[in-house]
Amino acid sequence: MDSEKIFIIVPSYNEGEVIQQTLHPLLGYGYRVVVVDDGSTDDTGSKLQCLPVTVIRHIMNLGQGAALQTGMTYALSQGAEIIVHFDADGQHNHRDISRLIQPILESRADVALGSRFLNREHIREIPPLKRILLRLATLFTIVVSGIRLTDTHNGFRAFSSAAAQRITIHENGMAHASEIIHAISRSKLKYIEIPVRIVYTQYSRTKGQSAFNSINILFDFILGRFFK
Amino acid sequence: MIIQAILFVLLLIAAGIYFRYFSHHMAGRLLVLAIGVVLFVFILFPPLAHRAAWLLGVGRGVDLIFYLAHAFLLILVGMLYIKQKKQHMIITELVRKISLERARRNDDARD
Repeated sequence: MDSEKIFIIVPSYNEGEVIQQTLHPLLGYGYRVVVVDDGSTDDTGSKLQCLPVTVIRHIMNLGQGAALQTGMTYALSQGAEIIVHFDADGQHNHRDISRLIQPILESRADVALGSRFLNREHIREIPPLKRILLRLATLFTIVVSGIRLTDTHNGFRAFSSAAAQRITIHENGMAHASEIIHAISRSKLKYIEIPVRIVYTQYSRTKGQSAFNSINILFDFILGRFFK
Repeated sequence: MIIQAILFVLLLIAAGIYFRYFSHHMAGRLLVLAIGVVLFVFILFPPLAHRAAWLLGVGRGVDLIFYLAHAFLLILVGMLYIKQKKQHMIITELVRKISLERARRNDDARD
């Protein structure tokens, strides 16, 4: 497949400190890199100007879910055949992209979901509290969506264009991760989990979700399902 | 008598706000109307609240009103949540449209 048809969507909010570092390794593959600047108030915009990437800017901050949906809508309008979600904070490894999209290229899956829990070495790298919360999230997903996954809140995922057309993210905030899983289940899409490594830097830990916010995410998802 | 007049006025204001700004569905209107009529009757005839409470097994009339008020407030909070969520969805769509339109123009300029 023409690598220009593979779109990497990078939602970004105030990631000026690391955005260039995150994007540089992606540029060598020939993928179309689309950064959705979600109303950043730092220097993200100027840091992006010198890079050969498509920048879509939200005039106000909406949340990661909204930024991903904007990126997906754009990618589909540009004829994307595969869409990959990739975090801007440098947590995701660009080398994992080819393994993530492989099952889609081979038509073995419509959606490929990254997982930190398929490789013992990767599991050891997850901070203990986060590990517990992620395990609880997988149990919650089994109950709510009936999908048995090892890592439900991993933002590293890939979709075929057909799958992306059947998924619309309504949850603007972080509850979009559960919403996507639920949409995969509802649309009966073929999915596969692929081991990926998440790099926990001091920066990503500071920017990441707090344990308390997990409760907010859960609350958002439950209310979102009841009050559509 | 004064407290009854005050409660009556407050009830009218609350009903007015609801029907002016929140009422969109017939089911919601009927529910609020029913609650409003019950409260109106209780304000005018307090012993009726006590009688109703006794029939429902919740003790005093004031207890019944307390429970009803909580239920009513929860319904209102839910309605406000839905309204706020809808507003947020509209804003999201608007922001998305603007950003995609700008991206399309940038693409056209590049081509």
